[in-house]
Order: sequence, then C-alpha cells, then structure tokens
Amino acid sequence: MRVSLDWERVLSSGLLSWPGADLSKVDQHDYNRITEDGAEAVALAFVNRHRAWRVIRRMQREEHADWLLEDAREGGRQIVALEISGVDRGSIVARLAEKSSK
Amino acid sequence: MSTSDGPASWASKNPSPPFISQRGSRVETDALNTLVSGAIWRAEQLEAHGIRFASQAWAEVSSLEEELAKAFPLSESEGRIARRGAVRAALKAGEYARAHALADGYLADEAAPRSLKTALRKILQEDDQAIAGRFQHAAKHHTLREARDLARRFREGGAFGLAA
Repeated sequence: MRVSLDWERVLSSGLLSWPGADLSKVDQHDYNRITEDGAEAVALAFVNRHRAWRVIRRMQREEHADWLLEDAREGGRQIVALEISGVDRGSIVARLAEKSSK
Repeated sequence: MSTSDGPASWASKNPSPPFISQRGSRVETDALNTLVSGAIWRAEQLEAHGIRFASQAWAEVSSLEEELAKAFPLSESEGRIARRGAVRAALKAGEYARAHALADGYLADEAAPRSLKTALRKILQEDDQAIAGRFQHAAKHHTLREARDLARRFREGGAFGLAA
C-alpha cells in the first residue's frame, strides 16, 4: 500500500508491504491488537531508519508512552519516550491533540 | 552503576537468576529490558482478556522491574521508570505487602527526587481507592489494610474463602 509521511514538516511517500497472511487464521487474532502491533512495528522501524533510535524497552501503560528508545548518535545518549497512536478512519488531528495534552 | 539497598531489597530474598549480577552490565540490562518488554505485553494481554493468570504475569513484570531498579540509579530515567513499574506491577499482581515494602524502600532513598516520591505515593493511593471501590461495603466498616486482607483472601480462596 502507498503511504505518505510527514516528518518534521517534510512530506515524503513510499510503499509499505508485508508478507501475506492466511485469512483463515486472521480471525484467531485480536483485530485491535494486531493493528496496534503492526503500527508499532512500522513506527519503530521508521525512527530507527531515519533517526537511528534504538529500542530499549516496552513501557507499562500508565507511563504514558509505549516504548523507551535511545538516541546514541554523536557520542551522547538521549532517552526518547515514544507514544504510538492512530485512527483507522478520518483525520488524525483530534487524536494527536488528545495525546499531546497527556 | 549503583544499586538500591535497604527495605527495597525485601523482595530480593528470592534468589535472582544466575545471569543477573547486582551491578548490571549493559548486556544484562539489555536482557532484562527484553524480558520485561515481553512480560508487560503478556500481562496486558491477559488482563485485557480477563484471564485470571494475569496476576502471575504482573508478578513476573514486578520482579524484572525490581532487577532493573537495582541496575539503574535514580539519576537515570530508566531507574525511575523501573521503580515505579516494580511497585505498580506488584499491586496489579495482588502482592500488596511486597508493593508497599518496595515503595517504602524507594521513598526512603535520600537521592529520590520529589517527582518520583509523588508518583509512588499516587500509585499506592490509586490502588487504595480501587480496592475501596471494589469493596465498598468493607470500606465503610474496615480500614484499607483490612480491605486489602479481604482482597487477598478472596483472591486465594474465592467467595467461600471469606466465610472461612
């Protein structure tokens, strides 16, 4: 599928593909969970590719972030808390505002 | 890296896995971070589906968070995250005494920043409120400590356990 990215106000586009799944087995999985896991996989791959951020660990839900990452470029080490969120339809604006307020 | 001693080591009476040293090298903390990531995922999944074994999964999370808390000092965000996580997961596991012992130890650490102390107290207060809400009748007639004991007995013995 085609995807467009807005990274620090720079727009780019590309293709996202993944191995096919046996549709008879998809129903065995939690739809919301596999959607979230897929979104997290894409986001983590993206920030690693573009920022070389490395995953440290998953966070507990109450920590208000999904993943803890480290930015080890240029000799230093900065910790990054990454929250991944999305909607399957419509605009992301409201969701983004809600998450930003937290 | 420094380690956190004192009352927080209450739960350390259980022997640690042999690959975990008290000082926590990079490789060891990487392994712990990988383990805790998987454990959190499992615990949240079990909890979301209402599966009773979620409490065991949260106990595993708490133990791993406690090991991470020993490996990372308070000055690092990972150390503060682990301390909060150890207490929170212990409460979710129903290990109230252990949770309070861990919190007491972390709160007693002179190096603990005010933000961490506030967060730990909030975690305990929210759990108290959750228990009081779950056992409203008991909360009218008993203290929260007594309500916690009732919750433990209910968890261990079910409804008939309370009558025993």
